[in-house]
Amino acid sequence: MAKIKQANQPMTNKMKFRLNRVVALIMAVVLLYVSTRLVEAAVVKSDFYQEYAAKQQMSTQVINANRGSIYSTNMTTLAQSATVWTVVLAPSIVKNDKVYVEIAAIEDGQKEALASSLSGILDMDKAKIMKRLESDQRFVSIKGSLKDSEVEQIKAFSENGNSCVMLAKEAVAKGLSDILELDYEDVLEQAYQNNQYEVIKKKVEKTVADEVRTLISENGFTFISLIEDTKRYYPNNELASNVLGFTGTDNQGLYGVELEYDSILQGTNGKIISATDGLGNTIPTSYEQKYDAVDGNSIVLTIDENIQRFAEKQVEEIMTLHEPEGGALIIVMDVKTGGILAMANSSNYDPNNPSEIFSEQLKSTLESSSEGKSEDEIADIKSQLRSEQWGNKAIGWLYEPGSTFKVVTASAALETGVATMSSTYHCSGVLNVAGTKIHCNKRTGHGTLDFKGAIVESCNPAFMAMGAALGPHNFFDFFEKFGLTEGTGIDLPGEAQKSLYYTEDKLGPVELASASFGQTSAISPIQLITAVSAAVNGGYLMQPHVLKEVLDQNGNVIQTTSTDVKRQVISEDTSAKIRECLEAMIQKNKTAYVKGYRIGGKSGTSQKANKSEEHVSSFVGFAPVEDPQIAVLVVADNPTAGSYYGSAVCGPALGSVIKDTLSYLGVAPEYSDEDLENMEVSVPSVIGSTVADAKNTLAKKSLKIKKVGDGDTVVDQMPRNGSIADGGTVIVYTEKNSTAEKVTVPNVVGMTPSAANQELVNAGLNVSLDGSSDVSGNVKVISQSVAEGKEVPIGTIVTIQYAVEVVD
Amino acid sequence: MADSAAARKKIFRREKPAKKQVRAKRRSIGEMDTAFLLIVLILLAFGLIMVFSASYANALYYDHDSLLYIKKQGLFAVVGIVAMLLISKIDYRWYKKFVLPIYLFGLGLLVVVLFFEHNGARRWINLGPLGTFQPSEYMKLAVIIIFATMIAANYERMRTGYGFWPFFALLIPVVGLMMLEPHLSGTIIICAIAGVMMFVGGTKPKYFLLMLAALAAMVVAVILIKDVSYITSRIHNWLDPFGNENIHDKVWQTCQSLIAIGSGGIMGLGLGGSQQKYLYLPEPQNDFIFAIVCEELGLIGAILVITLFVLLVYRGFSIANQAPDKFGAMLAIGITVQIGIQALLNIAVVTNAIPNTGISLPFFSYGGTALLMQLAEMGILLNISRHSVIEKP
Repeated sequence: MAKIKQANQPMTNKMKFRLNRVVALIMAVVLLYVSTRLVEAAVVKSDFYQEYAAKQQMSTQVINANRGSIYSTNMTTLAQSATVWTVVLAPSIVKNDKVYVEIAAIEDGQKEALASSLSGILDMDKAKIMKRLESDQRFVSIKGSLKDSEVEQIKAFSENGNSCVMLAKEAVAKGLSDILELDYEDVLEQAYQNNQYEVIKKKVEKTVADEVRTLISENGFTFISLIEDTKRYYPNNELASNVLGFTGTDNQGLYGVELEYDSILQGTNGKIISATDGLGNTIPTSYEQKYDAVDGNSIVLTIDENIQRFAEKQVEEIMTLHEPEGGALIIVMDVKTGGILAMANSSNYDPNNPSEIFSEQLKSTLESSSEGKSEDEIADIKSQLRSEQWGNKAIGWLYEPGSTFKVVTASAALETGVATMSSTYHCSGVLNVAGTKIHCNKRTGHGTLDFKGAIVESCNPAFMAMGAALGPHNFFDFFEKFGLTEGTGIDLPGEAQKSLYYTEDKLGPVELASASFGQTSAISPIQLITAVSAAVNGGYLMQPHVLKEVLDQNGNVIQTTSTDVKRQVISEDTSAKIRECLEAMIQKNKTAYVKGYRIGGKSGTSQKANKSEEHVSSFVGFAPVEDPQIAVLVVADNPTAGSYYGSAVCGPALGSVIKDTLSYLGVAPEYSDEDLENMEVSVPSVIGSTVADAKNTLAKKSLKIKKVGDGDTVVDQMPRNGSIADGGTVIVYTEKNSTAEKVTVPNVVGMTPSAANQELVNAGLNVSLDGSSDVSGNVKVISQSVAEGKEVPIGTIVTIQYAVEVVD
Repeated sequence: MADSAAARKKIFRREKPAKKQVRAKRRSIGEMDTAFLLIVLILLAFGLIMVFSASYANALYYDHDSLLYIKKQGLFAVVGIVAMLLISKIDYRWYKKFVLPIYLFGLGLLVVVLFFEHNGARRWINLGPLGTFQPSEYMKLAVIIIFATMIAANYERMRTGYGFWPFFALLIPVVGLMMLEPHLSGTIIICAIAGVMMFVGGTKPKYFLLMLAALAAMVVAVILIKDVSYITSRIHNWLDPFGNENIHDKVWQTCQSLIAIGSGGIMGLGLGGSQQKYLYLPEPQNDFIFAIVCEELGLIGAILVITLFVLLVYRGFSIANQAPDKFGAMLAIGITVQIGIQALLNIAVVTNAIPNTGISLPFFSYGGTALLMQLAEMGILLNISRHSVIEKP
């Protein structure tokens, strides 16, 4: 049997079995295993991998939302954000094998010489170098990819009196330090760091940022980048700073309104999510998702820029004249809404630069207390002073209100009926209360007083009698109803939430007696003015607030603060009586009196509970009496110059703020007969008296004062005598030989008397009117006593003659 | 030397043309397997599209010419198709005449390649404008041809020691030279092809067990020589590539590949929609092109590719089954298994089923000379299919 040649035969069945069954099965098993891994990756763990993919493939760029602005009620800008830039350098990318020449640093006439030196070192055509040196750029690059030997030569050449020639890192450092006004050595050190992100300067403004951009584009310095950021600007600097607050480096509100309404102002940052390749570059034409930033909303405050200025000016005035150790503050409130029109503190600051100790008083405190102290101790003192200036004493400070509190006691007494307008009180100068002798401010006693007289004279025994008549229950009831036991809830951070007082059960006869005239309890200024507003506005305790409305990005009003009456504390009738009494007080005590407006008010001088030699002087008032619109509280904490009585220290400021505010608000003055008679006042001589006393004397005649020189005693005044129009200014000289400031007399002929008056007053002159007392008609100035253009000492009286204009 | 020469004589003794056929009828020259050709062409077209898509970002970023890779690969594909069709006309039995030179030439190339260093290994011979050439690609075919020849000639003695030791002797220099490059993945593939051919040829299973034992011993030796921590960290990196805080260099490819597959999910991001090819997955047109297929075409696309390879293997085995002689059958098995194993291992690496090692995906991965070799092999298979015999019932 011939053996079959197996080689030339197809596969045997055994081979086929091994191939088609065994090998195929093994391969199928492997394929099954691989397939499960494939499905696992593509389906089971897909989410995990997709998350990873998104993390690495997507880059998120944050778009900063613009912080909303803060406006005054007049819609002037108090705070606004602007775009600024952070300059960042990627030093590790700066290759130091390129040579640059700073054009401006080449010495005159040395271009030729420089070009030939460089052409020697760098083995380059001299003409080519020369051509580059003619550029008007900041820097020109001469050659790149230098060999190590050339780099060394350039270094030596540069050090050898050719500082205009520099390597890339030096050029970058020079350019940036020049533009950003930084120290060259510091920037150079940063340029030699070996990292990708070196912040050179933050908050760089547009004009400077543009210069950096030019530097980048002219020289191909792509390793410098500008990152957008925002910066908060306060165009009015310190104006209302204690109310506004300021923002931190991340644009977050830190104090004041900025903090209180941070969430409204902030907005929501947007972002651009884009696909990036493995090297972090954005892939063009690929996926990109943009979420726009939602800018913050803006807010309008009840603060009136002008009234705020009036108040701040008076605070400053008190500071100069009475030097209160704890500073001074003024609050102006709209009695009908509870809106705060102004809130001025002597310890203010510039929110553009909040760390700087700003006010003169705190500066001198810093100076005197840092003497001989270590740097750490000084830093501590500084931070203490900072928190003082960032705070807001008008809402955060507790003090004994003194006699201003009598408004509350009187209201309670009238409302409960324990006193009527015809009640009488007897004052012998001292009252024995359960064995404790309590004196009246007038040691000799007021004698017999009626209810109004008790208020006008601020008679303590009378108020102790009222307190006793009220009893602890009623007294505390009204104390609570007037909102004096708890924070007012004003929309500002830092309000004192707990005042100091005796509760009903703790009010013994002595405590009740002293509490009745404003001692023993300590409340905050905002609590007092809110309570007094309620006493005079018909009895309604209002919710004090600074937010008027919220505006969206397009300026549409999206939220308005509603007028919120907390409760009616006293009846309209009681309120009317209180107004009458308080007006009488102002009529009697002329310091706050203003011609043409009916003002009511109550002064206060309290001793500090723990330091009886320190006083708090204050004056609270409102106007006009016939239809109260504003309430004003003026407080000076421990005046150290001149009088410390509330009427003397704070009265003139109160009158001044009320007058300025009402006339600004368009409330027409109505002069009484007496006022008209006194439209012109004779100038008293204040020579020899202290500045503070002089101010008082003049204020009583409705005259303003302007101090020249640094002394405390008046040595001369201008005008020395004669009579001038109401509201004129007397210049007092406190130093001998001080030269009088000269002013030029303007022309006022042809103007109305009031316009002429204004014009001359603005020029620093005083006015004496000569003409019919009826100034309301169609009258014009027909002559002026000092000719136009003449130089006269400031304060000189110019007499103007006026007459009814006859139109021919 | 004398011994081996004698052995060679014995081995090749029986390879004389057959004169008689008993159960099979041979057509002188027949039609080639058009189904197989179609599968090859579909795979090739698919592969070219994916090379273009996967290479796009790299070509644009590094070479500023997004068409760079596809132009070269396309050119090789055209040349490859022509070569494939020409080779399909060459009678496969003709190669038997040159089996020894073919083998020795391969060994020579493996020596030459040791003088070319690239990326820390010596696997590629630089052919200048033609690109690079991997001698191991050629060696695979050389081993297939010489093994097929020997199995066919020595079929009766395959159940004895002759069924193992001569083959073993031929593989030793190949494995030795390739480990010098070093080229572990290539070595594994050649050994796997050789193992399958020997197994089908009839080599006794005990020899495979022997080889596995030897392999295990070698692994232990390697572990002893190398640091244990190196081995454990490699195993850790394989089992939990995302277990580290950051995706570091050692696991970068694996992680990026898995991220690509996961991103694709079931439906894929759409052709051209890969994000991972944008400089995340290094050289996405090469060994990890399957990950881009998964990312862009999803699990659906991946299954399509796998199905095409399964069909290719199925048709390849059919051609082997119908081959008129054992040489043709073994040749067809070797070539088919080569494609199949490479595809399997490639997908295994891309899905992290096995640790990362450089294995390209036939018809897909970028590489002109490799594609040329693959198409040439397909030409040989097609020629074998022309000689198919239909078994009589």
